[in-house]
Parts: sequence; C-alpha cells; structure tokens
Amino acid sequence: MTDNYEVRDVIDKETLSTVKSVGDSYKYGFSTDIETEYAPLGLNEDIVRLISKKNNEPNWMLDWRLKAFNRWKKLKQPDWALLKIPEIDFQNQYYYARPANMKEKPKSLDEVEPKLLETYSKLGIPLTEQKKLAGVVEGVSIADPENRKVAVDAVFDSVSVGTTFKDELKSAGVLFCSISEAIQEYPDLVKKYLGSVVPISDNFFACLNAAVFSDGSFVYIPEGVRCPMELSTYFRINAENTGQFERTLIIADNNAYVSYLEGCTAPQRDESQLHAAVVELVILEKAEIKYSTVQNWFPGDENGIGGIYNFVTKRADCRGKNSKVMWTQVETGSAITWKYPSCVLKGDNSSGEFYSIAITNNMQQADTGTKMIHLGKNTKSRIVSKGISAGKAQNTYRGLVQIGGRSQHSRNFTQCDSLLIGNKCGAHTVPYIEVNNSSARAEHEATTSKVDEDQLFYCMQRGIGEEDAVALIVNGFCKEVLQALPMEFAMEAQKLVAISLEGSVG
Amino acid sequence: MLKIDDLRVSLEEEEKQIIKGLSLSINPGEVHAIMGPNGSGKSTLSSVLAGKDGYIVDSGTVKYDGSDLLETEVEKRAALGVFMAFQYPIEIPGVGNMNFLRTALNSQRKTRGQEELNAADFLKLVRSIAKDLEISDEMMKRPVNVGASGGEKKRNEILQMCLLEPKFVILDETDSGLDVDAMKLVSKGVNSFSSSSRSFLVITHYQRLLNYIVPDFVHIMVDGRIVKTGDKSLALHVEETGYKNFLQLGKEKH
Amino acid sequence: MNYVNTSDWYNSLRREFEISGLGIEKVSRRSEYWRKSNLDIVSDFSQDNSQIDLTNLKGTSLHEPDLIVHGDILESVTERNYQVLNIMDVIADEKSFAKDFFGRLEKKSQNIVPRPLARDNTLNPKVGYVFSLSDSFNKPLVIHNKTDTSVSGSFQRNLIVIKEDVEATIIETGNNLSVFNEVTEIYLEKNAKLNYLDLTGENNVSPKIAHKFCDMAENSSFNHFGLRLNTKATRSEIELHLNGKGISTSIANVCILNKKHHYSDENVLINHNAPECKSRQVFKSIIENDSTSIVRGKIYVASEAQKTDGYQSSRSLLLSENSKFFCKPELEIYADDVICSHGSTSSSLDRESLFYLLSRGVHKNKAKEMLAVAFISEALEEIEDESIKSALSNYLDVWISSFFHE
Repeated sequence: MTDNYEVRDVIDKETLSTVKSVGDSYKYGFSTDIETEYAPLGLNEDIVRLISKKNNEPNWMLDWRLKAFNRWKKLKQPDWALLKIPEIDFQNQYYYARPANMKEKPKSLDEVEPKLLETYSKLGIPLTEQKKLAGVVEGVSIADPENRKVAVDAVFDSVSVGTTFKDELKSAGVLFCSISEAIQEYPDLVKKYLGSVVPISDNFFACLNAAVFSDGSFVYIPEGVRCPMELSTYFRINAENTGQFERTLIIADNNAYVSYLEGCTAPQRDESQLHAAVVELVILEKAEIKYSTVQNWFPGDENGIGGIYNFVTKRADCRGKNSKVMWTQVETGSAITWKYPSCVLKGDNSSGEFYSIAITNNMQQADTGTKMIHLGKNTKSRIVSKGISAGKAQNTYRGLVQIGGRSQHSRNFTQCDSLLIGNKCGAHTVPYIEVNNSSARAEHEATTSKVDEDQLFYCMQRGIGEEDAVALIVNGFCKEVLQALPMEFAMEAQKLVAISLEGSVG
Repeated sequence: MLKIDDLRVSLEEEEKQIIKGLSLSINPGEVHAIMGPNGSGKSTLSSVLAGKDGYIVDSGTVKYDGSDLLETEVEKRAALGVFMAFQYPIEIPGVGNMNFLRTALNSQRKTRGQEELNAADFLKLVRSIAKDLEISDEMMKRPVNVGASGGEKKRNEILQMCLLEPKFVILDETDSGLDVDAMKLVSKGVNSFSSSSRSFLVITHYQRLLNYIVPDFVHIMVDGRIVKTGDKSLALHVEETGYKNFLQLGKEKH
Repeated sequence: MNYVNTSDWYNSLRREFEISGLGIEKVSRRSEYWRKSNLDIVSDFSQDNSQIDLTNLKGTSLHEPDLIVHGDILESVTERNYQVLNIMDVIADEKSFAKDFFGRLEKKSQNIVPRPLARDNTLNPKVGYVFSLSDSFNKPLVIHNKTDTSVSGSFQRNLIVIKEDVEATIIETGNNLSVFNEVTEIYLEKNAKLNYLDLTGENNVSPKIAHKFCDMAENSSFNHFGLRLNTKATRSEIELHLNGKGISTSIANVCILNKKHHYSDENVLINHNAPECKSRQVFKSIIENDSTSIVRGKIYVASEAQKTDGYQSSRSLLLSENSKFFCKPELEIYADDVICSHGSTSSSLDRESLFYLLSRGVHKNKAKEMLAVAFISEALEEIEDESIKSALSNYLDVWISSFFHE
C-alpha cells in the first residue's frame, strides 16, 4: 500500500452512537418524485437501437451493442452460484429511464435540475465543487485535515447527471467523464479498451450489459500521472421497474495511479430491480488502480420483498509489468449479489489484491468472491474475505486462484473467514485452487464460526448491549478489510456494518 | 582458518548491494565479534558464509582452510566444520529432533569418510550434552524446534554445535530474545566448547553477550563494510556512545 | 422386464433407478465435480498388457489376503467367524437382509453430488462381498482385488453392515489391469466402528473408481485411509452421512505420484446431519513429473448439526515444473454454533527448512527425503492402529527414499 489509511480506534464508539441513533435500518429508501422518460417496456433490437440513439452514438457502438444482443439471446442465465434467484422476466422491465429534463444534457452543474441535486445532497453526495463527498451513509461528516477533494460522477437511473472537478482534472491530464460522453469525445480510447477486459460474450449478465448499458464512468490517467484527487461514481436507481446497466472503464497508462470509489443506493420498493454492471480496469506498466466499493443497494425488507438483484462483472487486467490493482468492497445491500471482482495478472511482477466484507441479513443472499488468474512470472495475489451472515440470509465466498504453467515463482495468500449470527442463516466457502507450477506457492486458510461467546460476554459485562457488542466484534472481525479502504469510506463502512446487522440479535 | 577478501554481495531479488567490500581474517582459536546497527549487512554475511541462496557474490573471495568456501555446497561446508547458529531457527514439523541430529551427525561423518555412530553411542552423547544445556527429554522427542520457546530454540542450536563439533562457528544474533539466565547457559555451552583449534564469529547488535563470550577482536560493521576494528573495549565504547559516530565513518569510506 | 437370476426386489429397484437415473448429470468437464478431472478415467485406456500379478505392499504384513475378489469370483482364503456372501447371490435372494440396504445409500448420495458412475454400478453389479458383522474382528480383514485384462470393465459392489458396538478393520489392496468401478455401501449402527484402508499401488495400471458411502448412527466411527502410490488413474468418491450425536470420522489420504501423467482424484463429502459430531480430513500429495493430484473435500453442516467440529487440510508438495495440484475445499454451513476450518497449501520443498538441514551437513537427497517423509506424517498419524501405522510408515519411508535416490 502506498498510502497509509488508518482507521482510528475512536470509531468504534462512533459506531455505537450511530447504531443507537438509527431507527429504521435502510436510510436511503426515499424516492425522488421527478418526471421520468422511459423507453418502451421489454427488450428487443429496437430497444438496443433506441438506447444507442438516445446517447447519440456512432455506428460502431451500435454494431457492438447489436452483436452483444444477438449473442445474449443465445445465452442461458448461470445457475452454479449458491443462490435462489426468482425467475427474472427480462421482457417485463424498462431498460432506459432518465429524468425528463435531462433530455438536453446540462452543460454545467449549475444547469442540473435542483430536485436531482437535492436527491444527492440528501444522500450525502454534494454535487458541488466546494464540498467533499460525504458518502453513502447519512449524517456522517468527516473532518478531513488534508481537505482532500473527491471528484464525483453521479449516475441517476440510466444517465449521468454531472461530473465534478472535470476541468481541474483535465488540466492534470486526467479524463473523467460519463462513458456516454467518452464515446463521443474519446472514441479512439473507448474503441481500444472497451470490451478488452470483459469481452461481449463473457457471461450472461455482462453480455446483457454490453447490449443495453446506458451510462457509466470513464477514466483515463495518462502516462506518469498520479491522479490529484480521489475519483468516485455514485449510482442511484430511482425509477420503478427499471434495470440499471452501467459500464465503467478505467485505464491507467504507464506509471499512472488512481484511487476510485463507488457507492450505490436505491429507493425502497416492493418490486425487485435488476442491476447488471460491468467494470473494466486496464493497468499498464508500473501503474496502479485502487477500486473501492460500498454497495448499499436496497436489500429488500425482512420478508425478502423487493431489493436489488446485483449481478456485476468486474475485472482488472494487469497488462503491464509491475502493475498493481487493489479491489476493496463492502457489500451490505442488495437482495441478491452475484459478483466476483477479478484480477488477470498478465504482466510479470504484477500484483492483485482483493479485500471484501460481505454482510447479509434477513433474506439477503450473496455469492461473491474473486478470481486471481496468474499468468506472468513473479505475480502476487492476496485475498482477504470476511463474510457475515445473519437472519435467514445465505452468504457464499466463491474464489478461484489459478496459477498458470508459465507463472513461475508466483504467490497467493487467501484468508477467508465467515461469521454466523443466529441459527437460521448459512455461510459457505467455495474456493478453487489450481496450481500448474511447482515454483509457485499458494496458501489458503478459511474458518467458519459464530461470534465468540467469551468476547461477547466480556463486552456485555462491561455494560455494552448485546447488539452493540456484536457490532463491535464484527467491526473487529472486518478490521483488515476496513483498513484497506480510503479513510472517507472506512468510517462510513464501519457504520454501515453496524447498521446492516440491526435486528440480527435476540 | 577463514580469510574473507574484498567481498561484495547483492540480493538476488533486488539488485541491491548489501556487503560492499569486506575483508576479514580469522585464525584458529580466535573469537571475533562483528557489531553493527540494523541493516549493516551482518546477517547477510553469516548467510553467505553458511551458503544460503538468494544472494549474489559480485566479487571477492572467501577461503576456508585453503579451499574456496563460496564454491562449496552447503552440506559440504557443514562437513568441513562450518556451523551457523541461526538467529531464527526454523521449525520443521514431522521431522523428529533425534532423527534429525543423528542424520546430520552421520551424514557429516560419512562425507568426511568416518564411520557412522551407532544408536547407543549416539544416544549417550546427545543425552550428556542435553543435560549440560538443561534441555529436557521431552524437548528432544519433539519435531525440530516445534513448540519451543525462543530460549529453547537457541539452546537447541548450541546442542547441535556441541554434537557436530565444528571448527568454525558463526553465532548469528544468538543473544536476541534471550533473558539473562538463558544467555548465561548458552554462553557456558559456547565457552566450554571453545579451544585453541576452534574459531568463532559472533554477530550481535548489543554488547551484553560479549560480557560472557569474550572476543579477541571486535569489528564495527556499517553499511556493508568493517569501519573499525579493536579489542573488547571497543564493544564497551559502542555500548556507551551508540553507532552514530561510526555511521559517519561508513559514509567517508564511500 | 425382468432380469435373469435376480430377485423381484432388485428388479423393481433397478427399474426405479433406471428412470430416476436419467436425471443424473453425466460425467463432463462442465460439472463442478469433474472440472479439471481426467475424463479418460471413464474409458479403458490401459495399453499395458502385462499379466504379471503384482502384489501391493510386499514386505508388509498388510497384503496377505483373507478374501480374494478375482474377476467375477469371490474366494475366502482364511476361516472367519462370519459369513461372506457374494453380491450376485444376494440380489438373487428374495429374502436377503440386503434388500433393506442395497442401493439406499447410493441413492441418498446422489442428492448433492451427481454420481453417474455409482449409478452404473448399481445397475450392473458383477461381483462383490456382502457381510453383516455381529462380532468384532480380532484381526484386520485383508481383501485383495484382482482384475485382469480379459475383463473389460469390472463392476464390484460391496455391502457392509456393522452392528451395534462392533469394531472392524478392513484393508483393501490389489491390482487392476482393467477399468475397475467399485461401490461400497457401509452401514454403521450405534457405537460401531470401521477402519478402512484403501491401499492402491503402482500395479494399478488401469483406472480405478472407488465409491464409499457410509451411513452412520450415534457414536459410531469411520476412519478411512487412502494410499495412492504411483497409481495410473484413480478417482475416489466418499460420502458420509452423520446421522446421530457424537460421531467421529477421519478421512486421510497420501498420494505420491512421480511417473509421467499419473493422476489421482479424491472427492469427499461429509454431511453433518446431527449435533456434536467431529470430522477430520487430511490430504497430502507429493507430485512430480507431469502428474496431477485433485482434492475436492466438502463439509456440509445442516441447521440441526450444532456443535460441529469440522477440519480439513489439503496440502501438496510439487517437486517438478509440470506437476499440478487442484483443490476445492468447500464449506456449506447452515448451523451457527460450529467450528469449521480448512487450509490448503501448494508449494515446492520449503527452502528454509532445506537450508537448515543442509547447513547441518545432511546430504541433499537425504534432506529432501526427510522433509517428504515429514510432510506425509500428519496423514499417517490419522491411522489409529499402531502396528498398521508403523508397517505403512516403514514401507513409505523406503519408497520415498528410493524416490529421491533413483
């Protein structure tokens, strides 16, 4: 790690006070009453053409989408995950929704509809360049001694509402905009890299995304540039019965560095909604990308009604020698999560890290983990996964570590721990370890247990209530992953951990 | 006995030179101490002498009893009488301590063309050494170093030394992690083992071990070379003033 | 239709299984349980026409047979105090006790993992032993399997019932010159105990697929030790059903392959269906010369199975560039008050340990040998019977020593 992100101990106390102050568990369940323009219901070639047209895309992009769509029609939804997925009627939902007044894309943030700005400000995401990102947990204000700036791209349903600090970034050479803009303005870069990490036909959901993605973020860090601020995208699903299909493409050229944050929320609705995103990271020689996610989509209610189906394909391609990638994810939301941020370690000496906290409560289901594909020599990977299952939830870690025959002297270390809270939930571990090279070393450790009763007793004897004590212990259990997050997110994530577990005890 | 001439050593992985022109001559019966701050290259020197891989000798020679030590295989060096007491003796689960000791002793004897020791004689020998070093039978039955405390591991190293009877002994930070009693015990083992034909190279960060194992020569090592050599009083001097005066010496030599 | 010389109960079971078997996922690389596996194992790829009767583990007391299964013939060599029946007679007998047992476990063991080859076996048994044990064995029962090249595809079907409080040890060894598909259904009553050693050596020049399904009652105990010594191609599928309190079980395996393109594939599924049970799995593989070791070990803990203690360790030592190790240590847990863990490592010989031994003058090959012997010792420790353990351990020491001094 180049930066030393510290999680301060005082946070545990803050966590407790947050837990106490929170009444209802999901705080982002409000919806914004805004006139919305939908594409016709269902999915066919015309819809694909329509999305392309709405974004004013060149022909090559439309062809790409149509190719994906035709391919998708032949694919079957994967069933290997330990998930019970209700049948999804792909013809009974909308694939495009945008606020009506976004027809003409606002030229600057000043032109953005106030209701939208209000929505983000309510979520703690100021779309102004004076304030900093507060985050996906409400009511958290962070005293930031360095006054660090965070640039935000805000995606509302199918469109990007606006991107902050664009000009300041541009003067540093960094391109940060919505992907729809990038297709117009930087077609060469997009053509070169889009689909080069996650090909069109990679899997069912990625293929669907390639056909119907409406927006997302684009980042290019040129050679030798260390991005001067954190970049972030904030995803919000507002429209009913609408899928969100965003696509993110980040390229770190030789010797470049960027830290990127992603947050997600959605209103509380009785109908489940589909979110099928694709994230592609391209990392060239000696470059580094840190990608952090706090996923807090609406998880459905305690009876499993509603919630987001989060079927996401994320992959990093360490193409250059000595390149580095670090995925950190805190997954607390969504009714169903199907997500495996992966690292393809092609360049010699490249390294991939994956830090994950996945919390499932009530009726939530998660099947998440990573893939580390070692192809280059002396490549290194590290996996730290913490799964917490409560209520009637099912939580699965699924991970592949593959060391190729030519990947000499490569190393992997995996630690995956599961915690069970209550006797109606499940915690599962499905690792695949495939070593094709004797000079490589792969180590895997996994444990499953419940919250340590002695620890619990110790806390309670000191006067901490059971639920608070569990939150405290769980935060300790997750510490290694929380420390991998940038500071802003680490503090929010700690609170989120506590909030997500509400109602899990007793 | 040992003659190091302008030795330069780099790390295999990092292309970084650690020992930058070190010369040292040790005669039979002499006790030499090398002292130096962390990162001065002390442990690299002991590793290279024992033959650990991961290092590249850029230039220089090491002669041991007239033969080229650096060209000699690790196990051959041991049979020739080179012994290193490790700073962090490794645990080897599944390999019983007795089996290990007997295999080591007899392998060396075989290499030297000597007859192997039979089980009864071996047992007698080991027991008497273990007794002197206050190592329990239970400890001897365990796998090599498994479940042993820091002090027990160091005593086990000394036991191996007494059993294998080397001619040239490197004590690599043998004092680290030892309390006073353990240090006395270890020193007693070393002192009773020393003779006019045996030489010692004592590598240490602190002076305190040298109160018990008294050196004939003290060398201060800074940044990959010996910057000052003196007698045991030099060690006391370092204890008082620290290494900072010598750091400058290291720089001047560049 | 009816089958010649078989009982009504077997015929109706067969009909039922034929129909339900249509749903069983076929052997394919796309199956979770055959990913990376050598599919040649289902076809007879033996080119070796040697007729030499190689006997496993010569020089130990473990290979003198009490029972010989040779092709389709079952032969008792020694006098025992219980009756051993041939499965072909049993499935022809309308009144056999076996009708309450036969096929039941096979069916139950298809629930999570599809086992098409076990189903084949149920439909086509050719030979096998059946016994119900009411008194403990005073010495291990040594079973010697022999198939020769004249048989194409041998289906052996065994049934073992061990009554309350009875203990037994079975050692299975032998040689296979044609594809060998074995299913053993084992029923352990309360407090019953079975130690089973499946010792497969390099004379197994043909694929061997062995299934063992075990139904376990309260406080029973099943300890399985598998040895794969330069086997050409073996696949083992073990599934245990822990149905009562206080069961303990251990599955240990040592696999040493140093011949070109040899292959061993171990699959274990332990179903913890009852509280306070303990299971251990210890796999050790030493692989060299383009050979492959696969280990899939799964612990399933049902929500009733509180206080489960499940442990799995799968470790491999890869000694040459192209040796391969594939491992899938799986946990599926629905009870909260459990302690389950697994660890897996794959690497070449530890350089630090090797250096330590060399620095004490131990010769290189000897040092490697010592580390290899130490490496498998954790699995051997799982064997309870001291005399069997030391016989096997001595045998393996010599074998490993020749491995490094060739």
